[in-house]
Amino acid sequence: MDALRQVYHDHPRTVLFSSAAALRILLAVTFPGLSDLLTGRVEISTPVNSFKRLQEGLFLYERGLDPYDGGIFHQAPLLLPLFSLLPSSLTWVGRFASILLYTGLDLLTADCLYQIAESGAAHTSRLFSSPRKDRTWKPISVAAVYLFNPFTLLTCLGRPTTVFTTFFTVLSVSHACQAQAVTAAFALAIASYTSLHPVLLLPPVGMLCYDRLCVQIAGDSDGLASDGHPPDKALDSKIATDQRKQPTSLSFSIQIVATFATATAFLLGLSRLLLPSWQFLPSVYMTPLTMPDLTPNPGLWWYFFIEMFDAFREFFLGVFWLHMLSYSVPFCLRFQKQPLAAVVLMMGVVAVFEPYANVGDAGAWLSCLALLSHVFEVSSAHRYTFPALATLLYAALLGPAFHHLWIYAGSGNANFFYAITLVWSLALLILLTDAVYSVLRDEWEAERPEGKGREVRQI
Amino acid sequence: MKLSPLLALPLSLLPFILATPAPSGTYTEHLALRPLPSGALYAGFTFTATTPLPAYRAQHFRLFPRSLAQILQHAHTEELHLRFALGRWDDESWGPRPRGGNREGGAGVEIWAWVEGGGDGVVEERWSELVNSLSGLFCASLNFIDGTRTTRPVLTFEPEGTHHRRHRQSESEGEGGLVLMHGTLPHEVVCTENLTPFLKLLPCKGNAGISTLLDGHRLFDANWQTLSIDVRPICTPAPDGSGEEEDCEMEIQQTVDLVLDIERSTRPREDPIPRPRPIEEIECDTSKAYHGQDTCYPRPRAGEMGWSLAAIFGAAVRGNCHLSGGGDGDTRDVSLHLASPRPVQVLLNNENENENAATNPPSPPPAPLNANSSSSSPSTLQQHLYTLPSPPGQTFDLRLPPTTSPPTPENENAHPPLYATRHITGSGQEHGAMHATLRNPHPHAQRIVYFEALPWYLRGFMHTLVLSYTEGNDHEKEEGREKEGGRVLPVEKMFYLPAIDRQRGSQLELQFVVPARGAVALTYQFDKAVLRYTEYPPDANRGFDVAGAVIRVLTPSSAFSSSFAPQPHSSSTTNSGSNNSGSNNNLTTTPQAQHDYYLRTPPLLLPLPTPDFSMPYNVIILTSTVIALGFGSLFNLIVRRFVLVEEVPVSPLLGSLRGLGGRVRGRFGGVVGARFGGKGSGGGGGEGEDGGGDGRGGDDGGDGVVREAVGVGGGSMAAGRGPELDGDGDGDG
Repeated sequence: MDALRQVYHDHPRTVLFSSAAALRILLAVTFPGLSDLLTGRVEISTPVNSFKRLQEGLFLYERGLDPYDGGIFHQAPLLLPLFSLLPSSLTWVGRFASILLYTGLDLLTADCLYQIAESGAAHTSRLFSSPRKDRTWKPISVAAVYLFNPFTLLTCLGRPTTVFTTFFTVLSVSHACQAQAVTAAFALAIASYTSLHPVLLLPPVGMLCYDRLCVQIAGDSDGLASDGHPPDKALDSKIATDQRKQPTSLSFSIQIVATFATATAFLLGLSRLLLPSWQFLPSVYMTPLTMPDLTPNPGLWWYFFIEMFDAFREFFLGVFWLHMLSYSVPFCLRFQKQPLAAVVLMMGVVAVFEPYANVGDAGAWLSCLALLSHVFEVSSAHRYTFPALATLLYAALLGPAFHHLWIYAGSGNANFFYAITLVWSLALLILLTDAVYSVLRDEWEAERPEGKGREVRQI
Repeated sequence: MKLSPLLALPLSLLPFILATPAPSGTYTEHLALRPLPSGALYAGFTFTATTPLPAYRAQHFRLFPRSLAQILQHAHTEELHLRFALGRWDDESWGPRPRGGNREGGAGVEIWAWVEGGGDGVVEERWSELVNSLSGLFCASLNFIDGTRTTRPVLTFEPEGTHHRRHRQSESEGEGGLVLMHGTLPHEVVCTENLTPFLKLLPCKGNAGISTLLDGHRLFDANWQTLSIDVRPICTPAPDGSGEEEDCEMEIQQTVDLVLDIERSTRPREDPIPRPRPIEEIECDTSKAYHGQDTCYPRPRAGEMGWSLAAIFGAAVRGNCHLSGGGDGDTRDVSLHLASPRPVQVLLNNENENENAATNPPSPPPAPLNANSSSSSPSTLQQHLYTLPSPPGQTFDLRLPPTTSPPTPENENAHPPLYATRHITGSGQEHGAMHATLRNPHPHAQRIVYFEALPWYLRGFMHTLVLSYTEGNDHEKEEGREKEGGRVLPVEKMFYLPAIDRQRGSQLELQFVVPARGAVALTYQFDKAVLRYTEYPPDANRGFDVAGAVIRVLTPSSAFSSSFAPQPHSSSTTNSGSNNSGSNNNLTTTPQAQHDYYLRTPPLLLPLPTPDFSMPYNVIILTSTVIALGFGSLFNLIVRRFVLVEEVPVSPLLGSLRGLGGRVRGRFGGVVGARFGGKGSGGGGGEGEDGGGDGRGGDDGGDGVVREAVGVGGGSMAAGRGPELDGDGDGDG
């Protein structure tokens, strides 16, 4: 026991990652039917990320047909050659290989989260340093929250392709925290290529990258170790003095947007080489926009557009998308001092409001919230975090039950499942609002230390 | 001005009249009757009309229906097959299908046609014109055959007509190439309104000849029936062998195949409701152990039921429809196939001239027949041929008295080439699987084509398609082994076109070999889509119909050619004009196509998950509320800034309002406070108790009133209870 503790003390990451991988593999081996069962669940698999549909696309692709000339497969083309390397997932070996691949992805994601947490970008930025930064969780805890999150665990076994999106998004954020603009933009381009909505993260990620770049330059010029923890005062003074050395925000944004656009164009061109036609473009990217496939999912869109009057369908599609778009820029403006918070909160907006919502995205966002762990104190003291978490648990447990009542037992109707998805979205929204509140409150208290713990109003 | 076309018409027709020989087209009709086991009767009507191709092109029609021909010419359709079908052919007890399944359709409406193509979208447009016009002509919902229900099978259908130089180009779909289009409407209910236009296409319009038997009440009471219309061009090569084709004709063949339940059809018209017969009429089976004074186990019928055309179809055949002119004596209008010798009475004009067919033949001798039938059918099968009487108005009836001897047992050859069943498996409305079982009863392998056209809301996963083979012919064995998982069978050819939501259905064609005396199970999984609420039919919870699979048996050996397939009169008639399907096959581009056996599985019912149809407003409101809540609270936090409570500045308007409120409160508060305050301080506890007592009294009184009202309202029924309840109320008070 002591030896174990010693090992954990010395190599916490190794122990954590190997135990997480062992848990996943153990689950897949002990319950061989579990992964296929989870693949069939509507909460995990949606029309744009289902592993089963990927297999169907693969089947058509391997026979030389255009997999996008049909209504089943809507996933990114470059996944096809990747998965055609794996053995067929109908066999035991194939299933195991796919589980291994997804486990590896999860570990890489956790490693990226570890690095983000280590960089301290959450509580310290160019213009701001949180008064609560000593309350930040250890990076290993953030990674553990991701790896042992039950939603992430189930998603890993259900193998939807949004795990790739999550990984590349987090990878992009992690590169942005290291001020590597090109790789960050490239990773974000891959994430947007696999599913559309990470495009919305481009402004906050760009801002984060710019912020870290400024910090790094300031740190270097000050002769300090650029470990991401420069003393505040030195930083402040440096910013005041070394304004000239920093890249202008305009040229930086042009650079990052250009990289993003080039990378996207490169990926799309590569896809075109694999496929006989450009038909994959509407199939992959128009599907989340127009939502032709109304399979239930835990989001807000599906039942709304089942019940929508035909004349207003296009109008409300536009309204819903504009609504999602409307968060990106205001978040950037308001969270200028805390760009990582902007990224994390924007991920939350996407996870709640995306058309084909799934538990995997919500779980990944909940784990990323641990990056903002220094402000949890505020939200738990002043807001509705406990009721929201309880509601989340309630919805997570009742959701499958109500779905069963509707689809299998026939003793409930669609409203049962719809109601539970509403509750789920509401709980996520409350959590999101709480996070926004605490981040803003923390920022305000940095200016006004005397306001700590006192009642405030918003005007 | 009006005269010129009138004058031009005969002039334009002149060349054709000169060019074509005198009989411009032929017409034959035929009725084949065959009693089937278990008290059923098969009746197959065939009406064949032809017209020379030049006359057809010039819209000069005599026997060919003009309305249909004009539609076909307008839509550039060279060959048309249209089917209206109901019910299920019972392979197990009735044996092989009539005409080798070539004149059979899937339940509902099925249509396929070879349409002349001509560039992008032209074929689709012509096809749409065709189905819309036919929809009007036949009073059927054919106009619902849109892009989602149209497929283009590759392996399943071959043209029956002669399309020299053209039909093989269908794949390239180039200029002038013929394109096969196929559509089904499994939900369509075929009924009388489809029969009436069908009869109107006939030259005698159902007023004379065998078509007088086609009464909607009897026809649609059948266990299984198909109305079919087949239009095709036929060319006979020139006799001198120069290779040039001449003597081309357009042929329309209309068939009605039905299987009637003799007992149900012969029920008296004045008493159509099936009632239990009086006990005296029932013959009891005394051999049963439980037979007693008061119990009777009905004895199964020993022989076959007696029937007559008039009893089954409601009326005898009236007149005849011999229009071709010449060779009248050779046409056989009615043929009767009997498995065992049985007396047959022919009744002409209601005179009871009892004539046994074997001994005293009616006007045309029915003799020649065993010689014909022996080649294609078992030797025990007896065939009788009759010609309808010439004088118009005379009726013709066949009567078969009941027999007492048991029917001859089925012989081995009665097996159809293939047995096929198809089901949807799985529970719930989310996932499912298709499971088709094809059983080969014969000791040789058979190559088949399996064709399915699936609606887009059934999302098949072809990567889960498995063909597993199990040996053995027994049902139990087969099912037992399927669970163990049989050998996986290779697919020789596969054509698959996946569906696109709301645009195109999926199409699956498989070619594979069913091994001898074995069963092949074809399975694949699918997902059931959730539709928009406006896309559900009014009876949404009934489910959606999925068309049955079409199975084409490619290489049957000659032993299995159905006894129905060759038209009985085709070999006996010498009239060169009456081109029947049997004699023309050798001239088509693919000679073996006609001999292929087709069978169709019954349609399936696919239940889809349904939303709550009463909820659109509620859903819009609730979802919008949640979104607005999120949007509102997020932007509320984002656009406003924090201040301490003490620092909240007082807005001038709010301040003045507050001042006003304070003043009002000050003025009125003083007065009210004086009044109530004084009383409160004086009364104290006593007042509170009083109030409580009052309240209770009031409650009781109210109760009493209500109860009384109930008693009164209930009238005499509640009168007994009223006083008692009142009493209760009083007591409490």
